[in-house]
Amino acid sequence: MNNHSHTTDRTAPHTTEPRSLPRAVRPAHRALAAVAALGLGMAALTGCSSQNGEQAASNGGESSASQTAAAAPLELGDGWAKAADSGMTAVFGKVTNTSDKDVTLTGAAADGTADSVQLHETAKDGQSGSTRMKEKKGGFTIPAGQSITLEPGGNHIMLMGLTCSLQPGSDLTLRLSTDAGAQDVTVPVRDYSGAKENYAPGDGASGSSDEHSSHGSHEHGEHSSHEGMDMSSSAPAHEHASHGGHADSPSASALPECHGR
Amino acid sequence: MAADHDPSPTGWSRRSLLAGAVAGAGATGIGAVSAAALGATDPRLSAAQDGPRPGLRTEPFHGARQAGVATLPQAFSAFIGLDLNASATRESLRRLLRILTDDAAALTQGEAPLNDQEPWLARNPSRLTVTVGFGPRAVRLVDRSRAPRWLRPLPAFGIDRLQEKWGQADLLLQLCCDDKLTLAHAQRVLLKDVRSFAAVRWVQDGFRNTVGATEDGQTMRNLFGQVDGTVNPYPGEADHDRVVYGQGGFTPWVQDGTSVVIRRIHMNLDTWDEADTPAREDAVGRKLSDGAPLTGRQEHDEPDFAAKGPLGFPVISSYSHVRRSRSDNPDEKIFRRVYNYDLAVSDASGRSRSGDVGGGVSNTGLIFASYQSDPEKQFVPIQKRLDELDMLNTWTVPIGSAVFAIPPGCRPGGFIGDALFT
Ligand code: HEM
Ligand SMILES: [Cu+2]
Repeated sequence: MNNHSHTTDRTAPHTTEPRSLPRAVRPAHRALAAVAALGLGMAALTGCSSQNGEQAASNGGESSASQTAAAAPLELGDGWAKAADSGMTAVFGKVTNTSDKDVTLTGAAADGTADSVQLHETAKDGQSGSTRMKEKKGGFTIPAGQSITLEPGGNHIMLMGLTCSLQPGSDLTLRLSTDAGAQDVTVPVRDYSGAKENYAPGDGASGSSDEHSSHGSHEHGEHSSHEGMDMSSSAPAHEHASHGGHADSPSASALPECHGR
Repeated sequence: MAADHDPSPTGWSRRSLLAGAVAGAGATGIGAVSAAALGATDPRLSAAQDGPRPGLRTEPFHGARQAGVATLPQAFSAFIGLDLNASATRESLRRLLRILTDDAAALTQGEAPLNDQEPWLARNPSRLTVTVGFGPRAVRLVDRSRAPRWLRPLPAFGIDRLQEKWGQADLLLQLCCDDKLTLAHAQRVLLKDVRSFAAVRWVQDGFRNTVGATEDGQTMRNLFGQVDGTVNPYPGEADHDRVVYGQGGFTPWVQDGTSVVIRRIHMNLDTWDEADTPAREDAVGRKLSDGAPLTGRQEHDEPDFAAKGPLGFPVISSYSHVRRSRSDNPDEKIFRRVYNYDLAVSDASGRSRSGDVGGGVSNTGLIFASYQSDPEKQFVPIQKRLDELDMLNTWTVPIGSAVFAIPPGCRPGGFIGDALFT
């Protein structure tokens, strides 16, 4: 468990609390990721949490956890994606290898949502000293029974070239590829101001600071090349809208909203 | 610290605090306060004291009804009025409600929401509740046909000096919590969720005594010093379900739904200072010392409105607040769950005059939150009577008014308001 000693503890902080909800009845969104982790065969279940909350909740409980171990090697716990209107965004959460063999997460896809999806790590740039994200070649190997944490400022799954705008409160379905097969996971989409680390595909990317880029217009996100981009360029347009009070009509170039509520 | 105290992270415990308070009182010569002098305690207002330290106490989030109404009032509140963006749709409102529900469910149970950047601040839930209310526009967006008739501005009252900035909003978030830091964090997290959907119209911060400050089970006092909340259909009493949820009386707008009227009422402490105790007690019809009716000996004695004094006048004046606010019509009942406010005043000096809502060294009042099944049948007639005659009006001025429909609670996996989307 050395990998997440520094991670955010999302479990109940005080297990002694008698009235806190048992895991099985936690809110749908959280249960959802576990449901999705049941594997491809369960894909039909994804995205139905609020229409059929009972089902999602009851399937998110312990009963499914035991099935999961047998049916799929990975579980994404407390997963979520950062909302973005265009450009790039990322997915976070705790990926647990429920099997007794090491599993390597080799890639991911978000068909109908992003042109490409990569696995990224965040590392200090040897020259500038700033933190940059870059593709994690070879993927993430998760030892048997262990977890890795994908989190802002650390490892993450990067969506590039969004083809639709990912709205807060909607769901995003990803297909994870591993050396032990593929599986779908569905995560809720949330507004998030962080996760703005620079992206360095090669060595030559310019080091525009977060400060500068966050003031840039969202046209930034329309660039066809990912080079030198940072995630702040994909700040959701609705944030801009709220600056202008209620004038929040989408710009002409806005992408359609992603499906999946 | 005594060895038998429960260890807690800060080394404080309720017992040590109480012991300290008594010791302090003794040292300054005040002496221990007898329980009798503190006034009567009311089991309806008592929290279960056994169990974890106050910071770890939780209120259930899921259930047929939303928490925060029948919940024993927490020490602090933030009533937040939100205006949905012009482009809001049924669909975007649904997404917002899902997010709010998800995060409220976590925060109230002491868990950090998914994208909480300060998760450590979520660890002391302190009975946090989050209650969502719908203004007219929100209900219309969801389902125009479900909009209750009464979900519109209250009629204008002569005493009103309403300020637009405290007016009707599209959505209400009512946060109540025994800890201010936990409340501030929850507010921040939820407003971050909200900001791409809506703008914050107002935030009304309120407070009561903190946990342990008063004897458990005591009725609160407002900043006039009055015992406030004595006659009230408390949860568990026969009247509560009828008054608040319409059961066996009114037709609820939706099963297990209710409404809240939020009146922001300025209290002029400067002119209140000019009134001496007899005048103050006459204005309300109750004693300031313990809240007993002027005709009774204890807080919960029934007022005797027929009793006459030596000169033949009623002991409880016909213009007193309790006389005027009590109706013979059993429908005209409300459930009050009020909070004090006391805002910081800068560059203050002098006194404010009668009818003023500014000036003086205080900016003080009541967030008068009234819950009832049907505001027009229950709240409005009472407010009308008080508008016509109520001695308390000498010192109070309503400056804000808003009405919200409170949808039922939700089950795990659902979201607040989901019943209206089907
Ligand atoms: C700043 C404004 C107000 C103050 C300081 C205030 C104070 C009080 C006090 C001290 C009592 C007596 C103790 C009790 O039973 O709680 C009382 C009772 C009551 N008040 Fe108010 N009040 C205010 C505004 C209102 C408003 C706006 C309404 C309704 C429109 C209202 C309705 C009532 C009712 C129904 C009672 C109980 C009467 C009964 O004995 O049946 N009050 N209030
Ligand atoms: Cu990245």
